[in-house]
Amino acid sequence: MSALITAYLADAGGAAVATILADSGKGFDLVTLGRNIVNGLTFGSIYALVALSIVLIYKSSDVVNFGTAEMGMFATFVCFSSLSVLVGRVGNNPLPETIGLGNYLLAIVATLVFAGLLGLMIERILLRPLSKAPVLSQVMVTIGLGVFLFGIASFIWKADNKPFSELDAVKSANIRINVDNAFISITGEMITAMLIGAFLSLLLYLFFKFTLVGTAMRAMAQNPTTAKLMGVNVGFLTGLTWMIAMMLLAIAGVLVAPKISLSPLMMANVAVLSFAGAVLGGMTSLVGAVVGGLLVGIIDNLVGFYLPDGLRSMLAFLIIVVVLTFRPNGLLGKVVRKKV
Amino acid sequence: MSETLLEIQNIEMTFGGLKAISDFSMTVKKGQIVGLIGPNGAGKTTVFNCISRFYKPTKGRIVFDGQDLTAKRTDDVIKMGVARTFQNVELFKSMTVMENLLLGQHTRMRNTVIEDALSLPSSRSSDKKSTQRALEILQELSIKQYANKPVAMLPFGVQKMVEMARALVSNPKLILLDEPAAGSNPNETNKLSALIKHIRNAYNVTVLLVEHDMSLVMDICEQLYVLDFGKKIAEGAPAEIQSNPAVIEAYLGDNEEVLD
Amino acid sequence: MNKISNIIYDLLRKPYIGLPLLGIFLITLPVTITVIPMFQGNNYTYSLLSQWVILSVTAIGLNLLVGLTGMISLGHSAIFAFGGYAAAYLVVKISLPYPIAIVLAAIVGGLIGLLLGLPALKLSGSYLAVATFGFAVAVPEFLSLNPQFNDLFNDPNDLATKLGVVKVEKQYLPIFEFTKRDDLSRYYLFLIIATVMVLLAIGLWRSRTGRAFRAIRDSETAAQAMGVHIGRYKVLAFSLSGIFAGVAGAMYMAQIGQLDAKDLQFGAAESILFLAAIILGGLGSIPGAIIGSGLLVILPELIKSLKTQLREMTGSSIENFESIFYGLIIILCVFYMPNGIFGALKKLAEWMRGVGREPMLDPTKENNLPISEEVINEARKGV
Repeated sequence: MSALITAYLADAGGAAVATILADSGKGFDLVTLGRNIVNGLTFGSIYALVALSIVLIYKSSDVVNFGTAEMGMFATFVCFSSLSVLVGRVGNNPLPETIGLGNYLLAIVATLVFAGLLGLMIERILLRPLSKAPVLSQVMVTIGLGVFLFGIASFIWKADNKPFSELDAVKSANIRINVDNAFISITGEMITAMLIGAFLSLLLYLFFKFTLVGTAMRAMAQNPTTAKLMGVNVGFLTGLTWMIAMMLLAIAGVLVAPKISLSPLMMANVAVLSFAGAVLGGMTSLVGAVVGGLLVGIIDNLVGFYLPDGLRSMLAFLIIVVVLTFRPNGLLGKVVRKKV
Repeated sequence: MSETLLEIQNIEMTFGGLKAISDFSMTVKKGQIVGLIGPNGAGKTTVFNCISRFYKPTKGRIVFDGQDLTAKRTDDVIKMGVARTFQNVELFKSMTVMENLLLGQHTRMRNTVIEDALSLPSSRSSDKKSTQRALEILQELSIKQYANKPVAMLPFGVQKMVEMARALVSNPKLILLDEPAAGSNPNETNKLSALIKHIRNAYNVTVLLVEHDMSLVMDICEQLYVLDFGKKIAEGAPAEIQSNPAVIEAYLGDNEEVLD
Repeated sequence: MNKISNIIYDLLRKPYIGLPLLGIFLITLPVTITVIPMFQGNNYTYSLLSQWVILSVTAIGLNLLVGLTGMISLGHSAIFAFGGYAAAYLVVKISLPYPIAIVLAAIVGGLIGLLLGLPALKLSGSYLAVATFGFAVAVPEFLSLNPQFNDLFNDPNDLATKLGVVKVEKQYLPIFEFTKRDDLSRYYLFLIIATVMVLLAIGLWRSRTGRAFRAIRDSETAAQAMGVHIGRYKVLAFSLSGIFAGVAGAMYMAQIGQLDAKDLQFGAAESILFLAAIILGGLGSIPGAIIGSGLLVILPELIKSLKTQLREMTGSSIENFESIFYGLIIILCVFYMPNGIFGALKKLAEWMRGVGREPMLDPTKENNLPISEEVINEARKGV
């Protein structure tokens, strides 16, 4: 009986896939597949960084940061302003398409410092007083902050779409893969995104696993009271976590901005997909966040590519709902058994 | 002869790797006041939680009034006639005493959502009846003056009384009292003993209580069951239990160590 | 400070001052919102009032879920949208009379609320917020980019003429035919619908159902022990709040008169607005939802002058300016007014009435357990 059902589903599934492919009018050949995978990994790396930010905050403060999109956007705008100053941009002129290493690095440093401070301030001023408050309060505060930043950003930088620059070295680095008489080009942007995503993920992994501070943070996430008793400065470390989380958002924003142009709504879509990634990987697992982010990137570009726009945008939601319904702890999250 | 109201048959309760209760059996007859005692962590509240179906025993059965309780859902328990109080008073903190008591009668009130939304007479008369009954019980427990006060503002002792009232108001056959004397001084405990006896008589309700305070237990319990490390180590009348060496050892530890 | 408050308090207690004041307040408010608009005001005012009414209905429904039952939903914008689209479809394509369309929109809202409530059985707190958030984001995209829905609104005038205020006027408020002020009649229609919804809400709030909701919020453990089926009531709360949102959506659709799926964004931003209304007004209270809604609807007006000034100063238009204030309001409310404006007013009233001034028990008496002597004596008779 179950064999019949499986066969039927395979048939039906196959038919469905065929219809989707046919409807989309897009081909399913090696080249397209290759391009989609490359895109998937690129964006997936960015989603991974944002998902890391979400999970870091969730693990340390037990709060889902609904202001993720706005915070990342704001940090990216700060980078924009830094670049503008360094390059001597005037008035409404756009930024040059590429920027030299020196200026770029300076701007990044400034952005990271800002992001760190922002994270610290958010943790200290907004979240710490609410550590005992009901979940709704914490959720609303992050939402409120997001809305506030959105308004301020629109006010300072206007709501239009601005192009964002790239590092000149990056722009010129291109790889081309020859497949079936066509090219899959992996642009420098993409390479950087993937490399930085991988690098930061690895860095954080090593940090949490092998350094004293990292271990202390893990202890704190698991059991703050005991950690305190062991001399861990929970307050300081929570602040540190937020700093790292904000910096991750800033980097993700800077990486994605050249692709989708800078605007107050810039990271909304990225954030939703990153949430899906965090949920998929398991809100309690940092490794899961990376894996989830990458997977969502690939799914969106492999499956979503062929779907009509309306359905594609529902993918994230579908992933979230399916995962939360059948496996709320995601792929890699730990199951927490509550003892009454 | 009194019929059996509650029968716990060889239940076992395991959490992950921890066996909180093993092979525990007890019987409560109608009209009795039975006590469940034992050192801290022995598993007494776990037994209560099994009876009120917050947990499902990993082995064994609990039969109440002829029905298999272990097969029921948590919210069915009160419908079957078992009400309880909680160790750390679980009143509805945002509500008044009266509202808490109205909730205690939740299963006795039959109105549907639609009747409620439309404020139909059936909904309002049901509320009225329940309010009446609540006032009666409050009067009985001498706390009628607190009827409209928010519970969060009440002193602990009064809160415990409210919880007891809330359990009574559903007209249960069996009432589970989880450490009713916790936090009371000897004078209050005396009065509490009297009250529990009075309740049993006036409302025809069987009482099963978990308690640490020996004066209360010895005073009113007709039958005792002693738990230690999740196992039953003694059962019987209070007088027997008092002199039972196993019980003494469980509470006081091994005497030999002390002497050395 | 205390002296002044004492004076005010004493003044208010005098029956010939306090009661008349209360009476005046109770009469002027309804008059202001019902009668005065007939004689004063313009289309713009009416549209503001209508928005207030619509937001209030949504907020009351959401308050039932969030304030009363203690659950989070960021997805009510989607239910609101479905209600609106459902009603629009029924009126435009099937030519159903508006009142029936509203009822059906309510049912649609209830069903979608029910759907949204199912995850609530398994998820709590943050996870539920994420799931409902995903729903809120997905739905508008789905609606706006889906060809079927665009088809529905090919002719933007279709809706306005079919639904149009003219029709409403003739069918339901014949007494206003002479006024020919369409927005006004629409406002009164909304007022009637909203009054019905408020009465339903009051019925729910004060009854066994409402208490069950509050019990779930306060202590699921105790609620279960009292026989409240948690799952059933949670889904019920979602469904009921969905009904309110659906009705509000249907009203909104009539207010706008035309629905272009591409323009309209019933997205996460709307959900945030709904939540802001009840946080500002007061979680768990009907008057709170109404007050919060009113304030949020007026907000853009209040900052209008500020906005124009800034626009002149910077020489360019300022978008999303209101967001700055919404965000601030939300944050400030969470910190300083966790029970919203209504909660603050209640505290003020309590303080003036002197609650908390008298000790609960007489500290000179020895015991805390108030058990009567009769009970003790009877028990002592040896039973």
